[in-house]
Amino acid sequence: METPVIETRGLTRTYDADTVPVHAVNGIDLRVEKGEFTAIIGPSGCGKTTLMNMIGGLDEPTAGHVLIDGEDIGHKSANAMIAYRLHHIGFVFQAYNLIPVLTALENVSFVMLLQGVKKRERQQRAQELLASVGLMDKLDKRPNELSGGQQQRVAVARALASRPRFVLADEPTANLDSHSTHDLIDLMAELNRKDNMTFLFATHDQRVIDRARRVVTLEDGRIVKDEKRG
Amino acid sequence: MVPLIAWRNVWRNRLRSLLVALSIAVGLWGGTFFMAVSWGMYAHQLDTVINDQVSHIQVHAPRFRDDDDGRYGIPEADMLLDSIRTDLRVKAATERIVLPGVMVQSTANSAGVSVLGIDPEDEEKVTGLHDRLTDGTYFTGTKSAPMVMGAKLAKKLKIDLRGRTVISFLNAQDSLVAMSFRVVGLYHSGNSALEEGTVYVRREDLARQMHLGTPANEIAVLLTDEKDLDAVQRKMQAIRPDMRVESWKELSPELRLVVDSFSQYTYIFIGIILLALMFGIVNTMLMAVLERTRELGMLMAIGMERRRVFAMVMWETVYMAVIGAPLGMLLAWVSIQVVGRTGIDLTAFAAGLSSYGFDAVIHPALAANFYLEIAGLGIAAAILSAIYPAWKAVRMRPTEALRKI
Repeated sequence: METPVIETRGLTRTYDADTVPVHAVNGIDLRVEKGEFTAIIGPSGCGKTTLMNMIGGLDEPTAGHVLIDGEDIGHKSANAMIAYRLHHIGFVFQAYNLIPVLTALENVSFVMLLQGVKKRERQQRAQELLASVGLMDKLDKRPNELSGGQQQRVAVARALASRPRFVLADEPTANLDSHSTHDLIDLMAELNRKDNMTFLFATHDQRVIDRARRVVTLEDGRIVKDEKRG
Repeated sequence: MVPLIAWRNVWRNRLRSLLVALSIAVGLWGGTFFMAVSWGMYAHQLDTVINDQVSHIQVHAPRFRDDDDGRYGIPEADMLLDSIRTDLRVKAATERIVLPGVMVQSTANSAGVSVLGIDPEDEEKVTGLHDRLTDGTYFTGTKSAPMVMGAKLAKKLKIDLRGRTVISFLNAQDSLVAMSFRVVGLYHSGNSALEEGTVYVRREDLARQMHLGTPANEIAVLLTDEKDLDAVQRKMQAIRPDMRVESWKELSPELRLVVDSFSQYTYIFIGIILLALMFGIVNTMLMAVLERTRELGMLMAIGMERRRVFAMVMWETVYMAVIGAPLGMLLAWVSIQVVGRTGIDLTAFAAGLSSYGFDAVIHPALAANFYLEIAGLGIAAAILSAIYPAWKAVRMRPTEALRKI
């Protein structure tokens, strides 16, 4: 059996809400294979973002393990985890979170700069990525000169710039209008199909859920349904 | 790219960044200008002491200095003086007969003074006494023994020009001598102590009664350049090891202390200014960091190492300091140049200032190296003050930072 890109074993995150512990994520076992286009859904507070944060190495589990390509990332130091994220994980955030003082091209190049990619190569790749998300004419625009949809497409290009093993997208369409949402889903589906890039979404958005090929439903920090579609 | 991001971050909030740069500039300008005013005061005091009073170097018999007794002369003083005058580094030199702690009496009052028996022509070149005359003549216009005294002393003795004074002293033969002089000139000095405590007479007049057995008990030397002081002093001491050759630093130790401690206490003052400045920068940079919590969290989430986040915040401060510090130095240089020429007129406090040897008009001045040192201190203070905000930035946990609105 092929090693999954993402695997969680008994993943648990408990917060000490004063004296009453809150189990945000409660013993989740999940396997995500290479090339999946998976949505994690569920009501607010069900643990979607907490699960995503732990998979992305942004938060530490109280118990259980996160394995990326079979490697347990739980023992890494904070600095090692930053480096790990840089090279293995792409992030798309709800609020775009681009660097406001950099242009679209610079935002995409920045991740490669952190990786130590040479200037010519990162310029070329950043242009290719921005072209692939349909923003070739916006290379020199700063985030405040772009629409929400355009900013999120830059964020997708940035997430792919580091050649990650998978992309984590937490509510990527929450701030977008209907048209931009469709464009973004089309874009990510295309990248998934063409490049076999693994996407894992946390979302409420039915339009995203409708396009996902696998839907994992959480309730009270547990998986209550795991549906694969043709 | 980190320095580039930092540079652009600086201009995200132009007003705030300009205020920080301006506060650095104004703080350094204030500190530098204060330093220049202080130095202007002390430079004048130093100038007065050296040029009006003690000169750069003096030679005495050891017991003259130990006992403060004018009866101990310099053997073969003329020969030593000739030797000193051949040195090209010496601007002028003169012999004197000095009587410390002598009582001078007028018909109305008396005062304790130092009597300097001088050669008027040579003295003019060494202390410029002639130029400080405010009234009367320079040892001319009388058949009697002439005396030039400070205007303040004349007022104290209630004596006018042409008035008679008597001085009493023990001569080298231990005989009590009383000599009569006629006041022919009054001088002014920026130093009250000098003006009230020193009278000048002709050396030849004193010599007739002192019976020193040598022409002088003091040789005063003025140099062309202060930097030759140590070398000339060493050379003179080598020529006459039996005499005590002292520079103004030994002759006026209180002034030496002032000069030596000048840098220390002005740096303390500047340190206080910089400390206040640092609090301002810490506050501002902390605000800049906390405003960007979410962004900093994102940067660490996508893989920006903590050291780079730290460097970014540091760079932002460095940029503001590099803008502010030269601006402050330029302001300081211009204001010191302008006010240095016009002077700060404190005539209203002239009496008080004069009693400490300060002039009533202060001309701020500062050596070039101080500008560089202060600018360096300013930049260093700014960098130091950025450490805490930068540390706060890297201590953020990405998940918590990303949750912030």
